[in-house]
Order: sequence, then C-alpha cells, then structure tokens
Amino acid sequence: MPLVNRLKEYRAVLDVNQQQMGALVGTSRQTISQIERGDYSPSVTLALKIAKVCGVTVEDIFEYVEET
Amino acid sequence: MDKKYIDEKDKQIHKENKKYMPIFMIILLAAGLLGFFVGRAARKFEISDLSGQLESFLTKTLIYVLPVMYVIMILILAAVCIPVLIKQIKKARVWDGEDEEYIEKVEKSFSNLLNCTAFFTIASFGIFFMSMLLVESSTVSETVRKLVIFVDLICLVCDLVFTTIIQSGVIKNIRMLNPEKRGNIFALNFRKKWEGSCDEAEQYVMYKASYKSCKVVNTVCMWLMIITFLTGIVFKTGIMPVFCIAIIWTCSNLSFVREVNRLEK
Repeated sequence: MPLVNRLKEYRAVLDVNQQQMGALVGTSRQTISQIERGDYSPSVTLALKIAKVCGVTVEDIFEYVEET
Repeated sequence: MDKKYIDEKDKQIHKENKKYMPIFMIILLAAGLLGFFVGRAARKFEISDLSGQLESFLTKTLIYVLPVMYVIMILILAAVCIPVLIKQIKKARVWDGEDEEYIEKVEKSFSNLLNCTAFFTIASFGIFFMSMLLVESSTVSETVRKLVIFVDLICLVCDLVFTTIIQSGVIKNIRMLNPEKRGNIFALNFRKKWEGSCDEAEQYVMYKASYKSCKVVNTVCMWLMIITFLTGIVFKTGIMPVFCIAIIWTCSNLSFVREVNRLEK
C-alpha cells in the first residue's frame, strides 16, 4: 500500500481509543483500525476530517510513498 | 477528438484485436466442438429407463436421508452455534474498550455466526422443499410419510427459531459495540437502515463483495445451464431446471446493469 500514515501516533496524542476516534470523525472503529493497519485508504473527505480532529494537515498524517 | 489521436488509438486497438482474436476464436471453436460431442454422447447414453430408475433410486434414498440430514443440521445449530454465541456475548460484555485485537476476534466470530445462519437457512429451505416433494411423489407407507412430514416441520420451526435467536443476538451485540449502527432485525427495512449506517470502508467491502458474487453467479449459471441441458437429454429432467437458471441469470444481470446505470447518472 503506497499510503503510509501516522494516525496511531496522532490518536495517542489525543489520548482516544479507536472507538472514540471513529465517533469524532463520524466513522466506525473498524475503519480507524483498517486505516491504521494500512488496509484501507480513506476518502479525501474522511482524511480531511481526521486531519481536522487531530489539528494538523492531511500531509502530516498521510504520506504517499512511490512504489518501487 | 483529434483525428490523429483517433487513428492512432484505432491502430492500437486493431493490433490488440489481432493478437487476442485468434485465441478467442479457438476457445469458442473448442467449446462449440466439446458441446457438440458431449451433446451427441449424452444422446447416445439416453436409455428409456434411466430417468425412471434414477428417479426411483433417488426417491427411495433421499426420502430417508434428507430428514436425517435436517436433524443433524438443527443439532449443529443448537449445539455449536448457540454456545458460540453465548461465549462471544460474554466476551463482548467484558471488553475494556481498548484491546483492539480482542474485540476484532469477537467481531469476526459474530460475523462467522451470521454467515453460518445464512448458510443454514438456505440449506434448511432446500431440504424442506425437496423432502416435501419426495414425500408427495413417493410410494412409501402412510406412517413413513407422516413421520417425514412431522420431522421436517419440526426441523423447519427449530431452524427458524434458532436462526432468529442467533441473528438477533449477534445484531444486538454488534450494535452495542458500534453505537453508530442502525436497524432492527425484525423490521422490514432492516437491510436498508443497516447499510445506511455503515461507513465508507464497510460500504466499499460490501460493494466489492457484491461485484465478485455477481461474477461468480454468472460463471455458475453458465455451467449449470450446460449441466441441466445435458441432464435434460439424458435423464429427461424437462425444461424447468434450464428455465429457472435462465431466470436467475437474467435477474442477476439485469439488477447489476440497472444499478450501474443508476449510479452512473
């Protein structure tokens, strides 16, 4: 998956679990878990919501890495 | 569009066609020849008595086998699925809200239980209707007939009761674990509400799975059509099986195309 993320780190900073994070951005705990594992690439809307909740930019959380 | 672009694209597609067309034609020809020879072979094996013999054998065997299978199925449902449900409910209730691996395992078990009940429901209706048809068309004694009907009816009721208990238990607990989930399992609009409360990742999984299942249905229908056609020749099973498969195949494709058209608007 070329999209790597630091969602887990930012979630730790906010001191919320996946369920609470899901509620904050209007999604399920499973989706937060999948994003953190790198199994799911969120939509632009969800990525923006996550960034807003964390108080950072999307690029701070998500990074596109070229596949070699 | 630019004419140069059109010409170039046309050339490219033509070149690709030239590459793939012979293979496609060979496959078509081989399939046609295979169908022709299998059809002729099937005609050759047509024995006037075969369908009668087979029907008699199946009736005599299945009339006893199906109720036994049905009872075994219900016992599995009661003795395996319900204890698993109780165990998983207990696990879900003691979740600390933090251990993600723990709750993922519980949710996986809930999902497996739902899949099991879906499979058992299909099998249950299949066995019940087959058994009823066999009882009606067989020459077994009145006692056996009544016994088979009694066992089948009891099993059908048990299946419906157990399935409802398991499904409502699973849905209730999934809703407890995921407060955003909506829908009551006994309500007619359950599926719509449930789907509406699923987020983008869950909907993505659903749509991807639906597309895959549509592709599988297409392949299975094609093979079933060939098989039912051949058994129609050999065993005189009539046009009903072919007709039913054609209906299923058509419905599957029409609903897919209709939905694609709706979404593309």
